[in-house]
Amino acid sequence: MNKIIEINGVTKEFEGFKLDNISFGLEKGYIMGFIGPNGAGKTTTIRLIMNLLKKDSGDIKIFGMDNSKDEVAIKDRIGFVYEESYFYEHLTVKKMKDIIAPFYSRWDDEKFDEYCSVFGLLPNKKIRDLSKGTKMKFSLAVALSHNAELLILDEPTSGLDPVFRDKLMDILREEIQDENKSILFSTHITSDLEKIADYITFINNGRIVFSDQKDVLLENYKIIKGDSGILTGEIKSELLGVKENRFGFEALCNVEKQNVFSQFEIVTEKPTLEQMMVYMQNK
Amino acid sequence: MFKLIMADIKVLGNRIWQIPIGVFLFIFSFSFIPNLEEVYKIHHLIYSVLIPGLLTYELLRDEQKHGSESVFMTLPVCKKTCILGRYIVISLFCSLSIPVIYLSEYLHITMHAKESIIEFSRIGSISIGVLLVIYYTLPVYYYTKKLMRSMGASALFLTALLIITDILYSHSYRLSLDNNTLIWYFKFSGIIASLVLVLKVFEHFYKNIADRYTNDIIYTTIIFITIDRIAAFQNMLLNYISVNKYLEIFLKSEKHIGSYLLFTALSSKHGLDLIIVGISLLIVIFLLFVFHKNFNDKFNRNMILYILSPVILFHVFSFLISFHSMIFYYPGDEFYWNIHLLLIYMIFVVSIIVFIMISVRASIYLLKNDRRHS
Repeated sequence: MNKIIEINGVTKEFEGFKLDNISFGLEKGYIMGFIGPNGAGKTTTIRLIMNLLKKDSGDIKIFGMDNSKDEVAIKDRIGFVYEESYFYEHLTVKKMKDIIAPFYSRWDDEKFDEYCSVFGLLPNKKIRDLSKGTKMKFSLAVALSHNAELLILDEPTSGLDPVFRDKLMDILREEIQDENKSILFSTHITSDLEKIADYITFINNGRIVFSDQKDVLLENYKIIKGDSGILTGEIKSELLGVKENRFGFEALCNVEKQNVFSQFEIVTEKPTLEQMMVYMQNK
Repeated sequence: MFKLIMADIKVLGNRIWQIPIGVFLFIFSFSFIPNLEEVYKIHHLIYSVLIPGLLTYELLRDEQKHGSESVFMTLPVCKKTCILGRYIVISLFCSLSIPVIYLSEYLHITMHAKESIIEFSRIGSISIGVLLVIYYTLPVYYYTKKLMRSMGASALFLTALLIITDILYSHSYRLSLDNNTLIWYFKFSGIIASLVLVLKVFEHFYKNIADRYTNDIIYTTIIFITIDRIAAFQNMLLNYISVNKYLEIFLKSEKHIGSYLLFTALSSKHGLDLIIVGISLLIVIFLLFVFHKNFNDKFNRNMILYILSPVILFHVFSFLISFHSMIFYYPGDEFYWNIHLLLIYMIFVVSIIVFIMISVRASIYLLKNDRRHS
């Protein structure tokens, strides 16, 4: 398999937080959803991938190259979209583009103009006068105009309305069609990923909880609902997070462990990514 | 690199001219009010601090909102080039104040029909001060990502530095000490830096991190003793060389028998002093090396070394200049003195490059070793 991102045993310690021995990989032509609650370590991981932070230990390889030694060659092939616009607000769209374009060896002006017209970006409009959604469109136009093979999106949909979020998913789905591009999509809005992600990596408290194909994950886990009376200590230990209320209990369970309920009357459902995130966080 | 410099200039746009011209006009307007002419005595200082300060503020104002995810950091440029480019641009801002100072001074002399001359030398000393501010400000900015905080800290640093340097300088005159302003300037930078360091150490101390506190203090003390020993070794070596130079002259002239004997005794005493100081220097360098290797907290170790680097470097450069003039001194040889001046300028340029490179390294180190979780 052709791995675009390979992260092995990466550790980074801050005061009061530790990204602990994380490992995962992303193959060429796929979209990976990088999920986790706020403060779980998603942005720190992305900053490490982008070599904006120095890792304490471990290896990070992008396109098979070391992300620190081959930083320039790697960044030339990466399109980065950050949660907030990180451009100079007093500049116009065109001036900002003129500053960025010379740095990329494969910058395509025609492509940029095409995206500008599709996204309705006016070249002479100042960035500070753009709405949050339009700023995001500009970030995307920049990231997509230099033929990047890997798109890294750090919470691009937070604060955006559902209509634009849906449109963004369509754009990303379209981008991935040629199977030469890969996307690492960090978010805590998991409904976005249900639509487009092939792989899901869940990070919590600086540790990778799981990293697998989305469909495999959703098939491997079940939401189980039943009467609270059947929850013994032994059964509880087999569950991945339990919620109890006066009507009964609801829990996330690995399908392999489902047989512990064979003699009880229960209801099973396919979990959503959001449910998986919530239950595993409460584990 | 060129692309980065051009990008920074494009970011500033026409503000790059607006600010120096604005400051110039503001100060220039004072010259029409006779009672406020006192302000003119420090106008060069205002230009050389305000122009680079305002331009740097304009350049980094937007960027600092996003911390390390600034647009340039995500571009395909290596960190070193990116940060070095920023240093070069800010150095250009500093140099922009020089023509403004000359122009202002020229206009002032012409308008008030004064017989004074434009003082070129003070611009040199100011540029060192500004360089020192850049040396400390940018790494602090890259660590904290807070522009106002880093600039405020540097402004405070500069003010304290100027006031106390002035006090020490006048004191050194009274005591007939070596009245080289730069010596006091740089030595004092070490004192202020260590003061900041001590404050930082106390902050740790009150958080009950006693082992770090102890290590930091021991390491700083060893570095200070090393600096002191280097200075002592320099003085001893230069004394020894000068005494032997006189001995050579006496031998050639075959006169002054009494003086010859006195200088022979002095040479022997200085020789012994030189050996003792040399041994003590070797011991502290060995101690520094051992402690450096065994200092567990790399972050604190590197920071202490970075903060005290200007003091160490200044000693090395001043020694090179003095050593050169002592060894090759031949009275009346103008050609030699021109070469010597050229060497001083070269050492000055090299020192500026070394300072910038150390500061760039510190900026990269601090940027990538962010210890606060976002």
